[in-house]
Amino acid sequence: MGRLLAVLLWVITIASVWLFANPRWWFPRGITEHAPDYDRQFMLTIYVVGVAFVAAQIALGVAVWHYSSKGDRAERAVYTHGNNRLEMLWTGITALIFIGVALLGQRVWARLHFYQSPAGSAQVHVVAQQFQWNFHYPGADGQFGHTEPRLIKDAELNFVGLDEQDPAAKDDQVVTTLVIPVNRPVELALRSKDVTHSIWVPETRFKQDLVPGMNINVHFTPVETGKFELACAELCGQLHFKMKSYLLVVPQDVYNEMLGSIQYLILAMFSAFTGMLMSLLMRLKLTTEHPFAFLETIFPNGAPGGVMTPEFYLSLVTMHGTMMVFFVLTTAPQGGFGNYMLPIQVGADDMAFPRLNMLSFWVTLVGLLVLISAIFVEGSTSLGTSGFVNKYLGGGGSGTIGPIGGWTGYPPLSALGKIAGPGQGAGVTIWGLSIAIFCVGSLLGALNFITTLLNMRCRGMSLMRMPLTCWSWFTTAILALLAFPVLLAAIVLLVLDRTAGTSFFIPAGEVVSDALLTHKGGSPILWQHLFWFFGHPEVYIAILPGMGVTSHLLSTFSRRPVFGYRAMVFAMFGIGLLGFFVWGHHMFISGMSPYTGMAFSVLTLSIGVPSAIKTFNWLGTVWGGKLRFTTPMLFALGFVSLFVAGGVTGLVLGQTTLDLAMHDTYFVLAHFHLVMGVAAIFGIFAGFYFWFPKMFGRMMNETWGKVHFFLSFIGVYGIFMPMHTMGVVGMPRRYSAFTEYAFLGKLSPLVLFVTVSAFFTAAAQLIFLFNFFWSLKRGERAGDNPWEATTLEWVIPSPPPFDNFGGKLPTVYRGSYEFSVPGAPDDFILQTTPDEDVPGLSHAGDGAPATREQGVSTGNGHNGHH
Amino acid sequence: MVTMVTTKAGERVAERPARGLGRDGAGKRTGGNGSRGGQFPPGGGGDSQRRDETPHHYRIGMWIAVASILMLFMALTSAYVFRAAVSGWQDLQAPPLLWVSTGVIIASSFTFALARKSLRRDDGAAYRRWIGVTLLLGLAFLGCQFLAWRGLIAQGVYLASSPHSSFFYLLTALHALHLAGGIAGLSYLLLRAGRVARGGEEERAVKVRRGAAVDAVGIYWHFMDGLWVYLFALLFLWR
Repeated sequence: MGRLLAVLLWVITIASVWLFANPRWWFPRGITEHAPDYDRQFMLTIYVVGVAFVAAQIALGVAVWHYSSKGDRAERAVYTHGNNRLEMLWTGITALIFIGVALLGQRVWARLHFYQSPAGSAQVHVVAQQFQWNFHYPGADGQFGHTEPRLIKDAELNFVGLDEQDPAAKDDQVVTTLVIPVNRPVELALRSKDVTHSIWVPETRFKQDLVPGMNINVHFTPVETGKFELACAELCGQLHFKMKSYLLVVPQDVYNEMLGSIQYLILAMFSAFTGMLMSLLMRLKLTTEHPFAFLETIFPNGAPGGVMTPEFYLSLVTMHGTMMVFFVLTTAPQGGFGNYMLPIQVGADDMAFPRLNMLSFWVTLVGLLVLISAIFVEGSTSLGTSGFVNKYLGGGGSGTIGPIGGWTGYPPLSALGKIAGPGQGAGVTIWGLSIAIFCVGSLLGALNFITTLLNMRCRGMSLMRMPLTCWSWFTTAILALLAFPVLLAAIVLLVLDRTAGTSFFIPAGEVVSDALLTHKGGSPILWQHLFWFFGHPEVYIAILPGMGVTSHLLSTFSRRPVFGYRAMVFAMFGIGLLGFFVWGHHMFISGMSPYTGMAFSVLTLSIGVPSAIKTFNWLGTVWGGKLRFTTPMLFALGFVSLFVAGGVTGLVLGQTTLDLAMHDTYFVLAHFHLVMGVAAIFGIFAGFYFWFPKMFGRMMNETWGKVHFFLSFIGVYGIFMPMHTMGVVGMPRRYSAFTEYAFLGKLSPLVLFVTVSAFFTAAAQLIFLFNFFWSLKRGERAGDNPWEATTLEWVIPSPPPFDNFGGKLPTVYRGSYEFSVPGAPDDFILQTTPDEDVPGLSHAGDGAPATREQGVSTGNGHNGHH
Repeated sequence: MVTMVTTKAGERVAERPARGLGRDGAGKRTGGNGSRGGQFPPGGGGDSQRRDETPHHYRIGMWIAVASILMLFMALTSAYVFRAAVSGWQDLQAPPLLWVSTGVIIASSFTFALARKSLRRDDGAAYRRWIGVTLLLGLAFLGCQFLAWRGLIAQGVYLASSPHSSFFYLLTALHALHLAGGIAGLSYLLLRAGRVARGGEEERAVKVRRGAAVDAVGIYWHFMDGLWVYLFALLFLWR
């Protein structure tokens, strides 16, 4: 019997040790900072108790094996009352070990509970209720809104009793997935509404009860990303076993991603207002020679005596163009709205390369800062004498303001350096470097856009179901991807010409300022080819996103599907493709072969075809709709009007013959400002008013928005329409004064009118600024879908959760523009709504067509396009 | 105004099968071909891990990057062709060392292919070895280019000496700069090659990710190889 028991003891011991030594049934991998310490402490403890357990079991087994009675009554056991020394020894050792283990076992606990969470912790309030977790985030302002138990109304989805009146509550988010950044301490404030719950994620090695009536603060630091199951560990009722949620640990940059897109918008807004102020100064210079004392105060070099110098005017021309084209028209629609909305609209939780995304923003910001520094380097005489600038940047500043060369920077003027006159020193080199940096940032962005769109679309989101905005961002990204490297190449050559003495663009035998240059001979026209190979697609980079958003909004607010969705997509690609074969129309009179010019002319006019298709389809979308004149709709309609107004004159300028007189006049200025400047800006405004509620959770004020629209609309026509006739009279671009020529004298009333219109329009933008800041604080709260739109950004809360869809990617069942579908209860059907959930749609059952692009499967086929 | 439950993932949505995101979509025909999500059981599990399991976006992203780099060199090519057609062009003699560097870079493409083959055979040691050899060949190529430069400079041929020398220095420098990026990629592969996973799911994930990284670096490296052969031909064999 004794031996059986002993063997049994040993077998149980071995089985138990095996069970614990088997890695299959063990902790999941720890993901918090304290998890390794936890695991180490657990292992230490398990070794100690394991040794104790094994030793005791073996000893017990040995004892029962060895000392079992043989049945012989004559045997006697050892007679002793104990051994004091032995007892003291084992008591002492045991006590030491246990106390040691107990002390060591307090370390992690103390670190988690006795220290305040470090500054900069991410803050989340956790409110548990029976069978549901609510995670309350403070939003962008970092302030938690006031909560009040009596405001809790589950039916209205106000699970935590958020006080809508509190300004700090406006951007708060309450979601059911716990999303926290990696490598940053997170502080949880735990409360319960009803009974005691306990929050537990095995991977975190952390558990804490949530007790009603108590507010418990805990903190820990996750160090690995991933998605983990979150459970309740305290009996809380019949559904305790399924009170489940998820912990999502995301990279810090994903956590900040929303902020990133808004950073782009802020950068663009800053550049837009700076560029606008520059244009006002330019208008002032053109209109009057009257001295203004304030100008001398601000620009002592640029406006001595209060009158702007010609070189100051030209540096304004250069900076206005560069800033507007690159940092507003290229950045705002793509970097701002595209970054924010593209992943959401295609149903992705983020861009394909979130880190690259942040990188491209910071590179763009550096580009802007470098551009601004060009003004100061060029404008400073003291910097100009420094050895570094002289040696590496092609000569120091000229003491005037900013680089001169226009945004097109034609060499040789831009390539010769300081010898070519004021405004040609280091500032131009820095201007070039800024554009090179911008190119890199844009390329990274384009790469990200294309990959996201190709690879990250959610289930059911076929290409032909994407919103037209996505198509436009996609086309734009392809254009940027192919065009910006060419600009980069040209800029590299130009900067080498300026700083390293190469002769890519500087012809041999140049005599500048009475000095014969030693350059070996290059071609100035080469720059024009390279620049416009980029420059013309750049025009479409600026305008295509506006086309996308306009199509999107016209459909949404006309309550009709987009008329000719496929045609719209193909037209967009057609414009993009043709855009690469027309650069020569900027160079008809440049000395390029006249035969080439004719080819470019014909190709140029052919771009009118897809452009006309788009315009007809916009009219077709609006025609027969039930138009809702919201501010974004007004701006979209304004876009169509301006696009047509600016576009039709392309037919004039695109003809070799007519270009003979029109080239480089105010007619050109009017044409491209209307179409790629103002129309594109109207597209940006349309997007801004439309997506503002989604991004900030509040509506922009509609009244002020409409006032802003009407004043701007009247204003921009007031600025640019007269410029056409000025161009016909023959007024040339980039003149700092029109006083030298008699034939321009009669235009002075128009010049004054344009200037007044410019100031009028600029003043109207102040309304927008005011509306923006006012609405941010006090705008009416927006629901998830205030515009009753159909695309994916409108099925998530405003503002969206950190990972866009709260941990669960959507499934898409239909095209983007299902408005006014006959038989459906509402006049719009979300892309995520399956046919089965729309009563009134005759459901075609298994015979449904396998691929439905735009349109829904009703009995009468492709409906909505009548 | 319609308010929707939509973002509320997980259980709550399942209890409120309203419109919107709540649908897991399992078993429903969507009629569309978006690539992500939906293949996993309802409840939201698994979606965010898919990024690591099918990292196609590394390959796609690399092809797109290659396209844009190609455009950069195409622009410079057109500038070169344009300039060479104008008068005042003096031909530069190809430094003989460039033939060596061309051989080296072509060889490196082969060793990279061998590394990939070893990886497919699950032969970690051979994979590490071939990646290492490729890396050394890449460095050797840069060394050759540098020596070729030094040789020209010793002959008094500088960046600004003639149009051909300008283009030569510019194109080789830009190529070397891009190739340095490829060397960074190879070093990353080499550093990560020693990483072993603890079996099961994790090992599979590490393997898939490594495969994608090798593919992405491979696309780039072969492109750099081809680009150099092209540039060499353009600079010295064309005309």
